[in-house]
Amino acid sequence: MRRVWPAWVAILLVFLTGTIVVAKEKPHRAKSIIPGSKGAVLIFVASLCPCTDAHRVMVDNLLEQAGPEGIKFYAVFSNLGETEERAEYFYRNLGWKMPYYLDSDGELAKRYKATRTPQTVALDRAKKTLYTGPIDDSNLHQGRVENAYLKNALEDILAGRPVRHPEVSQMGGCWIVRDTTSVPCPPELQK
Amino acid sequence: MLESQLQPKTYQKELAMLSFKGHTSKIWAGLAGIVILLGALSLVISGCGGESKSESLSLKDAVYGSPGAELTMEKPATSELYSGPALSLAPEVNPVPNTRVHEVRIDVTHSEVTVTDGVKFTAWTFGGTLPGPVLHVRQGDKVIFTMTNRSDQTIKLSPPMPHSIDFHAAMVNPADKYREVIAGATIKFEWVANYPGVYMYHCGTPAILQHMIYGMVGMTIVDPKEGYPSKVDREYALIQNELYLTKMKDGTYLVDMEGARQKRASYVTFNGMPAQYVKNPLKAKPGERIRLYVLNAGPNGTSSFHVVGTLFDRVWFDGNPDNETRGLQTVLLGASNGAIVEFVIPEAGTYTFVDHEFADVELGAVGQIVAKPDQVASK
Repeated sequence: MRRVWPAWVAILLVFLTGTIVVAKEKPHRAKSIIPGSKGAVLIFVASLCPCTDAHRVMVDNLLEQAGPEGIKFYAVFSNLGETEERAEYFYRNLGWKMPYYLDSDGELAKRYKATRTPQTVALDRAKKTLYTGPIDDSNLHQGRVENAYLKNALEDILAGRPVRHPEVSQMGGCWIVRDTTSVPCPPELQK
Repeated sequence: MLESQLQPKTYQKELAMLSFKGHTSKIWAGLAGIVILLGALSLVISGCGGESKSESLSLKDAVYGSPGAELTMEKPATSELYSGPALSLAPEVNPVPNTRVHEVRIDVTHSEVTVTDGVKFTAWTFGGTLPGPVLHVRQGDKVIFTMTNRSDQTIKLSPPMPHSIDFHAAMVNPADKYREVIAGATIKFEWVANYPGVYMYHCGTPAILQHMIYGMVGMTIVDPKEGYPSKVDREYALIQNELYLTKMKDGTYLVDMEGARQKRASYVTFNGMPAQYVKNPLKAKPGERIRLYVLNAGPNGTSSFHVVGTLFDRVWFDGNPDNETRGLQTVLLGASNGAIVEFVIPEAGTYTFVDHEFADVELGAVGQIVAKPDQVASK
């Protein structure tokens, strides 16, 4: 019997390690937005919006680079009718490793004037907006990035200098819908 | 002895004639020499003369580029999601209208689409159908195309989003004509069909894979300027495409983007529904010559298109008669490739057409043509 117990312990350890790995990979829902030591990035997404998918690698890279420097990333679902199951499914498909936040009452979208997905907002530690706008301009150039707006903003924030383009008007992307009785009106239509 | 047993008796005389022994073989050798000389001469003549016959067929009067696209917030005057006599819904193929300029409207809309019993999802569509309408024009014709992105009219189904259209049949600046059209906006541009063929059109907005698996694919047929070299009794359009869906706890279906990235299709269909032409077969009469316009819209898989019980006596790869092959059992189509296949229905019966990659048959890439002497025309 004495010879058997180390084997049981080993099996238990393997099982626990596996459980921890699986738990890490499962999309994690955040209950609140808590910035890191250098701030936070909110990426507004929608489970039925295809525009986020085109940026998944770019965001992955930014998370890898800026995450260890003290920037926390959150994906925020603000569309009316988003369920936890849909959000989680979409999120798992994206393969992102950051927590997501279900903005059921649209409070965050309202506070940070988010009208599109994917729209990003970079915050300082006190949740003051340092940058708002798209991840990049690839949608205007058939997938080629000419201006990596969010990446540039994060470089500026981490270098402790003012963000070079603190506000970039969002062209393209899906609209965030908070009211199904009236059609939202994004900036380019307000003419 | 063993060798003669292996040779079918009927061929032994012909084989002996080709053995180059005796007078008969000398006559054959002489004839073969003349044929080779004539062939070489014709090659020299066509080479010296510049374009060969087939090249002039394709490139004469080609038009490259077109005036800039117009993007406006103009609302469509009609509730019709597509319009123009050059359009039809597959498998039907309208004849090319008797005009050289085709005004065509195909609007983008989001709508619930039934895939099969108990399976429906919110598709993103050209013209409200999956796949979009078939556009049929003639080589050298001008297409004046208008598209309104109506995704702002269905916000209960999905958020308004940008869409676009990419015509593989056109030769234009993609950054201009295939640009993103925001929800509520209308794009208008024109292009000339330079090459005959069977072409794909699809949404080109990132993530393109996602737009395509949501249903934004369709077919353009460009007839040769002088018509096809053969006459047929019946013709149909078949668009093969894959669907990637997953069932949610509430019973609804969502598009499975990860499944699409991993190329794990839920369904492979002809014209949007798995095995629909097994339930409602296409019609033909024995002895008829059939022309199928086949497109593999993908977005990920190949199609090994085959009709059981007959052979394709003409195949025009990508639908261009310059690319002719004869006597094929199967035509291999990569994603976005098209073909025209023609064959004879040899006798009354049921002729099953498949993607001969049989995993795809299991997922729905199968249909039938039922041939009866008293078959009523289906068009």
